Amino acid sequence: MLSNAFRPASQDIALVDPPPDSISRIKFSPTSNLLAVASWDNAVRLYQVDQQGQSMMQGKLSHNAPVLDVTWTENGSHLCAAGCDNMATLYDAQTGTPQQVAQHDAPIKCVEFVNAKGTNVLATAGWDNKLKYWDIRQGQTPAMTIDLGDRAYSMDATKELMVVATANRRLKIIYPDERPEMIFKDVESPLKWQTRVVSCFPTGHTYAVGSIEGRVAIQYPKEIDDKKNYSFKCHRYDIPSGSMPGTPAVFNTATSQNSQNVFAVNTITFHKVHGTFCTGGSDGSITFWDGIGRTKVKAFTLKELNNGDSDARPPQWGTPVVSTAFNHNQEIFAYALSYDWAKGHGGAPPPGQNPTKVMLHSVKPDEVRKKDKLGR
Amino acid sequence: MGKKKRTQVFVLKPWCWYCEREFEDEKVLLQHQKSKHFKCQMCPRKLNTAGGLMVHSQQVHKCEPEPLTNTLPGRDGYDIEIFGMEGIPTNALAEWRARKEAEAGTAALAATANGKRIRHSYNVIPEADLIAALAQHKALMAARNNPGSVFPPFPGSFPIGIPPPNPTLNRFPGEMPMPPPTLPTGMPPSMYPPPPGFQPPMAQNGISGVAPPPTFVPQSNEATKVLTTSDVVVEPPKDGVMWPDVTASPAEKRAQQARYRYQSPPPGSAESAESFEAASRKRKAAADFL
Repeated sequence: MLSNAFRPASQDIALVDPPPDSISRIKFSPTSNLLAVASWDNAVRLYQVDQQGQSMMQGKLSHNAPVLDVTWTENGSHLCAAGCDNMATLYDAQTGTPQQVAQHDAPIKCVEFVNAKGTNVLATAGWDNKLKYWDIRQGQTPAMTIDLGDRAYSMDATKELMVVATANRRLKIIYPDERPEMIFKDVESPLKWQTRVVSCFPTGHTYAVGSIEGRVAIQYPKEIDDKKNYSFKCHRYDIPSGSMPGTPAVFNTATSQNSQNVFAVNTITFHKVHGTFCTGGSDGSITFWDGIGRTKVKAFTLKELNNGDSDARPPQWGTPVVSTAFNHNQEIFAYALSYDWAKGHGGAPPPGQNPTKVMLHSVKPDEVRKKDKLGR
Repeated sequence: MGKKKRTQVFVLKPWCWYCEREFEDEKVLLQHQKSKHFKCQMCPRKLNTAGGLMVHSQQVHKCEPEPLTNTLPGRDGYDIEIFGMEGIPTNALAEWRARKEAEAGTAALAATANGKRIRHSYNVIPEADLIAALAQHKALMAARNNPGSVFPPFPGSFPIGIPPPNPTLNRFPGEMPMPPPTLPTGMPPSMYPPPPGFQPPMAQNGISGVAPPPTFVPQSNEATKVLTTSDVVVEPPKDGVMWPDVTASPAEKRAQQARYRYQSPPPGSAESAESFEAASRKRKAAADFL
């Protein structure tokens, strides 16, 4: 097995035939090593991968419009993709047979399968300020519609907890197995800037919020006292000012210039066994954290990922990490690199140049395991 | 009277061969080398020398060691045994000494030219200054090319990071065909937004500054139809934050681009099959037209 052999992250293997445009979401099947890659070129691609980093494109599912999110059913037989064509489509993972299952009035940003009071339903949230539940066997009418009050940006669900992040820094907390029809809590984000991503701990009682301003907050929605809630900074780089490498600049009050380059936290993904999570930034680096122990487990810098160099002058930022995923046995870690529109149209890569990549990393236990008190 | 002798003794500070960083003290240098260059990638162990790290990797982890970390290019090898300042190749040492002496020499020359002693020697111009100077220059050139334009140069208005080469940067209020979609529809045409380089002083107060009121118009079919690619304005980085726009996410802005926009089927025909047909008919018509 490859995880015993030593292979640094700089030698991670790229997926063959990556999409020609940016990736919006990647997700592994919960039962096999089938990776679904949703992209802005109106398609979902399915790749069969293995531990050695070998990959093979198994199918391409075409949409009418850019695909913004993709998710799998629990048994891995079907996957559901949604995007700018305002609808969600269910595909058979083997045959690729499409079936429209959901409809919104605006692009659908998030899709997720949720266990609502014991029945498995599809939850979709879109930029029409709506969260809808669909019974996929029933078809075209939503089982339930909830008004979110703002455009949905990110959503994640476990068996007990579901969190929807919307524009204007609102977070909606829903307990799908108790009251799926009700927003249990509507809170303002603990972070001061736009929410980019929200992700629930596998334990289901905690969630993590990432913002565009290089910060992650860990929230315990059921705790009475909020002392356990905290946030931390990440994906930031000091802007060197002095002559010596590595000297940080001081805050310049005259020009009110900040001393750091601050990048968005694009993705938070949990390791289902160890409960650690990784953040992927717009800078192009990935860091693994222990959210309970409040420690950094492993950092993959730009250099280590072979994706730019933050120490160079001027710094060469890598291709943003837009989505990350663990496979079903948590042994393969896939991360998608592509342009995340942070610089608008002008920052898009010129035609003919495609920075989009999906890298496959063989997970070493040290990278994802919580450290004990000795730091080992 | 009390004029100091200018011929001061030139002292070479301890420095790290791997990353060319200078230190005040040899002890600090040793600490630095241990933690930055001779740290094992697979366990928390730190070794004293490159050779020690190699032996450690081979004996403990049973694998060939990875190249040394955090080094300058080409200096990540295990062949040279360096401990602090000991073991540095003589030619590299001589080169470094010559460089430092030259720097000290030029600094002294500059000091005599200015008539006073300088306190720091900067061998690299800070990036922030460079970027500010570039922005100022760009604004100046733009103003010169368009003497009638109203917007003055804004020195240092791109705070940090490289401003994106946005095509809308070079546009001026008078040429704007229609207000960008981020404006409320009722806005009078005289209230065009300031050029993208401009930032209201309030918003510069950092993260804690009050966010401007949301002006993003949620997308309806009517709104998306009138947009063109260049109408979608993305703000340049502000306070180092790469996406300072509080009203919409990058994905939303991106979805407004012409090439990503989806024309929804006409009301009444919700069937996807019909929309497929409609799309193919449209394509055919366009092809005939060409």
